[in-house]
Order: sequence, then C-alpha cells, then structure tokens
Amino acid sequence: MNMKLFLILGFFTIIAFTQCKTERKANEQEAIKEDITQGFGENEQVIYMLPSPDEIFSEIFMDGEELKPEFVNPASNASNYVDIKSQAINLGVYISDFAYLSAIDDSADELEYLRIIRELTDKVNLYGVVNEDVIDRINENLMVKDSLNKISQELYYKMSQILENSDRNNILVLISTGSIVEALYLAVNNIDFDNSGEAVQKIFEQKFVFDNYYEFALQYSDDIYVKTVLNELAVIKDMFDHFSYNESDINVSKSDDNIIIIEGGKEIIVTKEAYLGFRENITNLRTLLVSISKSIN
Amino acid sequence: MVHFKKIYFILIAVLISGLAYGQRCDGYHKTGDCRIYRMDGFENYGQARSALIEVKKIATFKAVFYGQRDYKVVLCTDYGYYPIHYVISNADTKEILYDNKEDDYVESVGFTIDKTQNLIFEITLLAENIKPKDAFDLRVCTGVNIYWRKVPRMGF
Repeated sequence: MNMKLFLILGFFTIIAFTQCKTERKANEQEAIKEDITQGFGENEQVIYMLPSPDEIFSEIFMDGEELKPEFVNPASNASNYVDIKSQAINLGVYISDFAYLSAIDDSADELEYLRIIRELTDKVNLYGVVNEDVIDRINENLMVKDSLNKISQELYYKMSQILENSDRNNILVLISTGSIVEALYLAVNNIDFDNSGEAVQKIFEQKFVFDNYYEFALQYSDDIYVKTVLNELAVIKDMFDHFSYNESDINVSKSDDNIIIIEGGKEIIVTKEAYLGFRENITNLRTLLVSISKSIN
Repeated sequence: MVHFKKIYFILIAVLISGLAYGQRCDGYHKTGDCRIYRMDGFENYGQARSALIEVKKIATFKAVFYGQRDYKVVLCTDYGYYPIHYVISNADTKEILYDNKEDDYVESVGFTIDKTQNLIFEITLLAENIKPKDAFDLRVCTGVNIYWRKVPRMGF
C-alpha cells in the first residue's frame, strides 16, 4: 500500500516539476522574443468595456427628468421565457428596467424586478449573483436612489466578470444586447424630439457604446444565439453606421495643471427624421426581444 | 485509504486554485495604487477594469468616454512590474492623444473631453527591473481605474 502511495506521489511530483520548468522556460523564451520585437502589434485581443445601464441613463437624462415606468417590460412576462437565449436577453432587459425604476423617486417596483433578475440569473447558471446580502442592501436603500443605482451597477459588472471568467462570453453578449436595447428603448420613449434639449444628441451618442458592444459580440458570432441576435440588430447597426457628422480636427493641449484637453472630433448631426426612424426601429427590435418565446432551443 | 483521501484532497485543492487563478484580478483596480484619495467631485466610472497581463506584451482596452466630462485614469500593477507604458488613441482615427512616455511613465492622467468618443488604451508592463529568469510569474494583475465627473460650470 505504502509503495503504491509513494509511486502515485512521485508521479505527480515529476509532472508538477516538469510543467513548472517547461512553462518557465517558455515564458523566458517568449519574454526574450518580446524584448526584441517590442512595439504595438495589430492582432492583440481587445478588452471591451461597456457602460452599465444606469451609466447610460445618467448620461442621457437630466436631473429631474420625469421617467415613465409604464414602458418597462412587465414583470408578468418573466416566467414565459423558457429558452436560454430569451432568458439571457431578458435578464439584460430587466437589469435595465431595474436601473430605470431605481431612478424614479416614488417607484416601489424595484424589489419585484430584483426578484425576477434573481430567477433569471439562476436560469442562466449565474447562481448567487443576487444573494441575500444584495437583497438586504436594496431593502435598506429603497429610499436612497443613488445607492440603488450603485447596487445596480455593481450587479451588472459582477455578472459580466463572472461570465468572462468562466468563458461564457456568448451569454454576456445576450445579456448586453437586452440591456442596451432596453436602455435605448426607455430613453427614446422618454424623450420627445421637440422638447429634448441635448437629450436626443446624447441618445445618438450611444452609437459609440453600440459600436463597442457590436465589435465585442462579433468575436462570438460562431455561437448560434449570438449570430441570430446580430442579425436581429442589423437594422440598428445600419442606422448607426449611416449617421451624418460634423467633423473637426482633434486638438490636444495641456493645461497648466497637467490636465490634457481633448477638443474636436466627430459630432453626430441630429435631425427629427433620423430620430423618429431610430425610435421606430428600436421599438420594433425591443418588441421582438421581449416577445414571449415559442420554442425551446 | 486515509492517504488516498489526502491525495484526492490535495489534487482537488490544486484544481480549485487553478480555476481561481483566472479570477484573482477581480476588483484589483479598486485597490492600492489604483485609488485616488482626493475625489473632488469625481465618481467611479463603471468601465474601470482589471486583467491579468503578460509582461512586455500589449494589452488593449477600449471604452466609451462621454463628452463634457473630466476623467482621471489611474493604472496600477504589482510592485516590481512598473513602469507601465500606455498610449491613448482615438478609436476611429487612430490618432494618438497621449503617450505617458512623455511624462516619465506617470501612472495617472487627467483629461477632459468635449465630444463623446471611443478611446483605446494600449498598455505594456515594462517591468524594467525584472529579468525573465528572476520573475516568479510573467503574468500579473493590472488595473485600469477610471473616475469621471461632469465638467463643472465656471463662474458664479
């Protein structure tokens, strides 16, 4: 018995040492090679950073903006999403709804939406993201809207991190799809072109968020769900790609206190026609995404 | 039999530590050198990130920076892996907006932007004092912390 034990331990020790040595040698060689070829390469993988829905809302809506809770996806729809694609997409939708409701002073629906988010996270195998601690924190902060926004943001990034760490970026793409489309849908239904001030400009500027999201999603377009979603988003992508711009040279200067000032660049030209077209397309897409799933994929 | 249980336990522990390796950088940007201690109205921007980065290899981060905002970006890594070289460029035009080489590889930069744009951060850990044979590990956590605030109104 002891001999057997000795042999097993010896075997694993040899493997461990061999791996360490090989890895260190490979690292050394690679580092030496990098030293020689140091410079900015073309084919490095890009890490995309996407804002959470509450950050998108805080960018679009001015303080005191009257929000319209009647536009969020009804809680009653949640139990009808039976396939993984619609569960993940609508998890993103409800995360945006939660962030939106959290910004409304007299709303009391946040807990109901949090319960839905918890159910959907479990369904897409993200157990424990919405745990008792989160629920307690939300209960304690129901009247403190800034804290709720912060919790909503933490939740979104925690979810993203878990999915990235577990190589489930395809699911992250679906969740991000739901959350970005819902955020844009809620924004366009809140903002009337004629009385909008800067808000329409801010909505159009979400094109930059969308571009990042889209590039990120393209990396996983081999996945059948991601592929389908990208097809569904084609009309929005096309609209964003055909915006007109006022362009000026980018001018970079430094202030006396060493702050870099970046001025100029592209400014999207906003027209009523473009806005109404965008509103229609985003509404159609959102209707498609939240519609009750008929198939089990 | 007891010995076998011990071996299984050790093997499982090794496996779990291997899985945890990928997660060890979570929240790294919220710690130590990545933090600023005078907020001056700045808030955390959610797009801040941490990642495991290989020494002398470029890591590229891309994020939206909204217009009419002030930003502070702070980069940090483990002791011994400095300096950090980073270049900020506009994602559309590829125009280089800042290279911290000009400022002796300073780890933090403050900037103000008037028009929303996607910026690319190309980050390289130069780790000048570490020779490959000395380094225990050539991959190390690196944080990119971002703070933002609306450009304050001037005057009374």
